[in-house]
Amino acid sequence: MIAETLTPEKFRALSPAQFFAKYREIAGFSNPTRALYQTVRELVENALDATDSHGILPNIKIVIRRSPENPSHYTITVEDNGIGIPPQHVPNAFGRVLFSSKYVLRQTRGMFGLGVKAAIIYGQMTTGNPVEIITSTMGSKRIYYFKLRIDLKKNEPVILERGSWRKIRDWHGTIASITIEGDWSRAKRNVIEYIRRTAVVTPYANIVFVSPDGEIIYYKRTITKVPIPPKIVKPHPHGIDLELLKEMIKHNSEKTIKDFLINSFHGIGYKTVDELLQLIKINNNKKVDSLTENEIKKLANILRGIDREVILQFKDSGKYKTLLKMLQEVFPWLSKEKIIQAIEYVNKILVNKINKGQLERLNSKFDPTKLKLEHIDALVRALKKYYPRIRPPSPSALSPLGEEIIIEGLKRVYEPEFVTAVTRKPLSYQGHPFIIEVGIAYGGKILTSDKPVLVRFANRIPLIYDESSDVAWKVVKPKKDEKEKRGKEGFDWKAYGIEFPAPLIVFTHICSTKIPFKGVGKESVADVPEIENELKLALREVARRLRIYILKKKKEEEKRRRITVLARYVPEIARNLSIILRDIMGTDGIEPLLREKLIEAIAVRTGIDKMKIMKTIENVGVET
Amino acid sequence: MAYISGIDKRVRERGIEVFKKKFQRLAKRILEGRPPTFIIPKRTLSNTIYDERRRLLLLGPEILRRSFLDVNESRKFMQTTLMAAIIYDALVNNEYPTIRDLYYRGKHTIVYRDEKSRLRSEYTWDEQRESDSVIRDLEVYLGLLREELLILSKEKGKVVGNMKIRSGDDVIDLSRMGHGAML
Repeated sequence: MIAETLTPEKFRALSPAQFFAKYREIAGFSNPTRALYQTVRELVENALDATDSHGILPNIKIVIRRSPENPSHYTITVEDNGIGIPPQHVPNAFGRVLFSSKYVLRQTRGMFGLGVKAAIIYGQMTTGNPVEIITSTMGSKRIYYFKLRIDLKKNEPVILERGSWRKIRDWHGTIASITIEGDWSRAKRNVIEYIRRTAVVTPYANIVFVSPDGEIIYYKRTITKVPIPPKIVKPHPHGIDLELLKEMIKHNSEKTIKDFLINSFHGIGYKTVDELLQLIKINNNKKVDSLTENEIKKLANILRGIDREVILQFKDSGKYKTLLKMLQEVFPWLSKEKIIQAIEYVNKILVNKINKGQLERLNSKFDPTKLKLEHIDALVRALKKYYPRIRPPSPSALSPLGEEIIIEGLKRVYEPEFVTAVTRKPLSYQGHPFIIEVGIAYGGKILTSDKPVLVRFANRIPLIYDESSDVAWKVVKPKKDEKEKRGKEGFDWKAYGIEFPAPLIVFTHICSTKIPFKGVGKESVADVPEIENELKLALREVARRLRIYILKKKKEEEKRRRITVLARYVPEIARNLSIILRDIMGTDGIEPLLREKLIEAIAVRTGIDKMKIMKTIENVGVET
Repeated sequence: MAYISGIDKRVRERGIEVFKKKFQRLAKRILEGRPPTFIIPKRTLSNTIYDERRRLLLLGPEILRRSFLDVNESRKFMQTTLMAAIIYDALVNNEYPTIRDLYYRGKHTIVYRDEKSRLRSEYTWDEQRESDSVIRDLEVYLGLLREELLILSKEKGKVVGNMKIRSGDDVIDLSRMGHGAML
């Protein structure tokens, strides 16, 4: 377009593989340190997807070896006991970028289908070594072996070697080896942290890690329950955009609009479809391929529903002089009267809520760029009255870990004295279902630190980098001073009986069909209000349980302290009294009898077992 | 042999009897499973009465209960029994201890395990102030003055010369010591 007319520069197409070779930092391969970490991550996540997503208890072995010829070259080998890859799919699965079985709407660990291939391309570019794969599917009688590289120009696998042999033992799974240029001494900390956190969310997996220096880390399976694998679901109308809708219409051109909507979307039933179509004035029986461009636009618009984001997108475009005009454009299926009614309704609630100094009356002439968040939220509530009820997005596409797995995972990795977890009910943001899970581990072998240690997960993947910009940190970080107390950010740990430094780990897990990552590195989650709020509620719930535990513990400690205060004097008192009494009572038998009776008196008063009280004076002599 | 006065002997015997009577009662309480408690007249100014006829200051009717099971008093309770045992022992053995003697005789460590099972220790008393206070408590508890318990608080004379004295099992050779040996 403009570029073509102004400059003589020639445009040439990049193949997807070339694109990733050129912009490798997008996939997390910006330097040898990060690349080593990323390669481990991609291979481990594939290994887990091949096992637990299919109900198999994972046995995963990760080995990093330093090349004897070149100390900056490392071979990363990951072995799993998963479903294996059918041999005809191996070349494409490892050698063609954007070939993936994951392009469906369900929660999976990887999503782009490029992770492992980015690692292969990176290895190819830095060391020239091909990827090696050994695999066998569950029913297969043979084990297959491949050595291949990716032809960047053609985005095609090139098979260098292949072979197969008969299976002797009943093995299935995949072993993949990639050799890359890396920096173990720098990557070590994050790689080990990544494996530790993976162990937190997979207490049902055996994980063995062998480092280039021969250190072995082993996480033993502590539970045999695998989380229920997610199902594939139909898209929710709120998550739709114009392009996606057109694509869907193309594949369903035969259908009437009514059947199309009911069959293709989640949450739309017979009643809702009639209401929706009535609003945009389209005949129920119209074939979808005869819809006009304008009708499709309207349909996309109404399917997106009403939420804050929809209005925010239009607010600052500069195109709209008045609020009425803007809302009419955003919600063309609503009549002018209805929109004016909604604005008046908003005025009424704002009058009651905002003090006089801040009072601003909205009217249809109001400049939309001056809309504040509270205006928008009130408008959303008012306009929703005119919107047919669509069921919320289905959480069956999600696979939360569940409280039991989180608790077991935190226990096996951190060995705390107290641990609890909560799985919240599914909700949605912008048409995407999500579930928040939060866990807390306290005391035991956890080291004391100035801040809570946050371990973040998104769709069961540990997030290590960019913690400070993540929405979870915004919620979990301690409130600093009085000023911040009134602010929205941070958590008031003091109110829950925690004073830092304290031995505390907070676990957060967001699962969704679409995680709102910040940037392309997929390492931190954006602060979506719905997600932030759920995190807060979940954290409060687990923190409340922790507070109860801490109070109880303090009380018991106080009681135990009291016992030692009393019990320590028992031998002394018994001896003293016996000095006076033995002349009357005759024998020395009085001393042990007095001891016994004094301990009994303590037991009666405190309600604590005699044996426990006796511990205070166990193996302790009395001086004379 | 040291001279033992007849008056001292009678005083000793009386002291021993009072000790036995009082502590038998305490022991009975303990063996019956009732909370171990000393009931002691209060030695506060507000509990002091002036007897005009006899022209004497007397203790009033207010009492204080020193209970072993009260965390704030258990240490004091232990100290009271400790002092009682030492004074009783001195009475039986024909001794005339000073209050400083009593302080040293009673001072030793008590070893115990804390709530985390660590070995810990503390002194029966730290300063003489603590042991002196317990002596006064015992005086009012037993209803006997310290002179009646044969405790010397200040020097009443000197014994010097070429003399050996047996006190209980101890033999004191005065010729080998200064004049402070036998106060």
